[in-house]
Amino acid sequence: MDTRQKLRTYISETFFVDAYSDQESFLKSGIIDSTGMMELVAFLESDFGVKVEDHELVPANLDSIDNLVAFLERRTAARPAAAG
Amino acid sequence: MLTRLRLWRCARVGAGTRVRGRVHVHGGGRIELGANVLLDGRTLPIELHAARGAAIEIGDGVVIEGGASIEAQARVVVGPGVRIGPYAKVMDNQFHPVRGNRHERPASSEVWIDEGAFVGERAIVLPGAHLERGARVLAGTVISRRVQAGVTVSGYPAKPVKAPVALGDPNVVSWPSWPTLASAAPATTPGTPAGNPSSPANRAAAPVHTPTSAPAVRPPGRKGRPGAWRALAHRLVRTFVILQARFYLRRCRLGRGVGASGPVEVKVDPGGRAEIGDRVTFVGGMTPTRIEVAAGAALTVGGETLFNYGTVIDARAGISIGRRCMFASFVRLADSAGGKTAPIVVGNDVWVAHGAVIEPGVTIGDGAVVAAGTVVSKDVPAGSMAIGNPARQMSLALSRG
Repeated sequence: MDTRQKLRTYISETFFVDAYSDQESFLKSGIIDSTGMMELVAFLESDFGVKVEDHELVPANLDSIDNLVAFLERRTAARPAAAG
Repeated sequence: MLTRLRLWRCARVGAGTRVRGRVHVHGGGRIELGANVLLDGRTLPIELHAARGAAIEIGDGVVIEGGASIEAQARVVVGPGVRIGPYAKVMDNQFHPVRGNRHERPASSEVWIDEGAFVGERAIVLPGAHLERGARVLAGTVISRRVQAGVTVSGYPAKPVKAPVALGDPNVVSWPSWPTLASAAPATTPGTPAGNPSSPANRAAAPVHTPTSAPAVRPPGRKGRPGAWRALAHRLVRTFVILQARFYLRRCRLGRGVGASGPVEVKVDPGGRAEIGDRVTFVGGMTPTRIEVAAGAALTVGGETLFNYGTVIDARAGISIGRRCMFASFVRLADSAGGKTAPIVVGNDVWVAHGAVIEPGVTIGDGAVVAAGTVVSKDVPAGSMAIGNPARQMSLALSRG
C-alpha cells in the first residue's frame, strides 16, 4: 500500500471521513482537531517509523494528505534507513 | 421523594433514580434522567450543567461517580447503562478558542455516549466525541472523536487497546458491583424523538462531528428588569464576592478587587508568602480551589488571572503565575512531586485547560495553551500548545481555532 493510501485508510478508520480531497485542510474542514492531531502523529511514528520532532508539529507538515505525504517523503529521503 | 427534591432542577427524573452524596445541577438548560440512574457523589459532588437552550439526556441505568462532570452548551446524550467514572469530564464546548480572543466562546459540538459505553476515571470526553455502543475510554484518556462500538481506547494520544479488556461480547457490559441496577434498564434514551438515536443504525445516518447552532455567546440577560435594580444586584454580588475573597484569602497579600465566588482553602506556613494580584478571580464550583505555600516558598499570581474550581496550587519551592491567565477546573500545579522540587513559572495570558498537571521545574511561556488532561513535565515555549501525556509541544496553528 502506498503512503497516500495508507494515510487515507488510517484517517477514514480513525476519524470516519473519506470524502475529502488531498489538499483539504483537516483542521478547517473539521475532520481532525488538535487532540486528533496527536493521534495522527502517534500513527506516523509507529507505522512509518519516523520520529516527529515537536518543532515539526505545524500545519505545513500535517494539515492535509498532500502535506503529510510531502513531509514523510522529506523525512524518509533524509534517513532512508528509518523508512518503515 | 428526597431524590426528586434534590433533582428539582431536572426536567425529568425516571423511577428508581437515586442520588447519594451531593449533586450540583445548574444552568438554565434541560436535564433529563432516565429510570434507575445512580448519581454517586459521596466522595465528591457530581456536576450536571446545561446552559440555557442546551440539554443533557441521561438514559436508564446510568451510573455516574463522584467528581464527574457533564457540561452541555448544546447537547450531551448519555445512553442506557453507561458508566462514567470518578473525576471524568464530558463537555460539548471548549469554552475558549485556542487562538484569537479567548473570551469568545467557540461553537459547540454534540457529544454522544451510546448504550453500555464506559468512561474511566479522569477521562476527558471532548466536543464532537461519539462513543458508540459498548466503547470503553479507559482512565486518563482524552478523546474528541468517534470510538467504534466495542472498541477500547487508552492513553493521550488515545490508542486502541488490542487485547480485549472485557471477556465475552464487548458490546454487552454488565456491572456486577451494582446488582440493583443490573438489567433493569429498557433500552431507550429519554426525550429523544424518532426512535433511539443512539442506536448505531440511526446514528450512522447523522454526519460525524455535527456542529450545532448553539449560541456562541451567552444570551443577553432577562429583558424588562429595570437597569438600576440589575446594576444594584450586580454591585451587591460583586461586593459579596470580594468580601468572601478577603475572608478565604486572609493569609495572602491581596491586590484590589480580588474575588472568590466560592470557598478557597488556603494554608500559608509562617515564612511563606502568597501575593495575589489585582482582580484575580476564584470561581466556586463542585470542589474548592486549594492553595498551600510552605515556609520559605513564595506564590505570586498576576492581575486578572482566573482560577476555576478545584485547582490545586502547592508551592514548596516557588510558583509564579503571570497576568490574565486562565486555569480551568481541576488543574494541578505542584512544584514538589515525585522526588523533585523546583519552581514553576507560568507566563502571561496562558490558558491551562481542565485537569492538566504542571510538574515541578516547568516554565510555561507567554500565550501558551496547555490542553485538557495534559501532563506537562518539560518547558512549554511561548505561543505553543502542550498536549498529551507526556506532553508534546505543537504549534497553536495546529488547532481548529
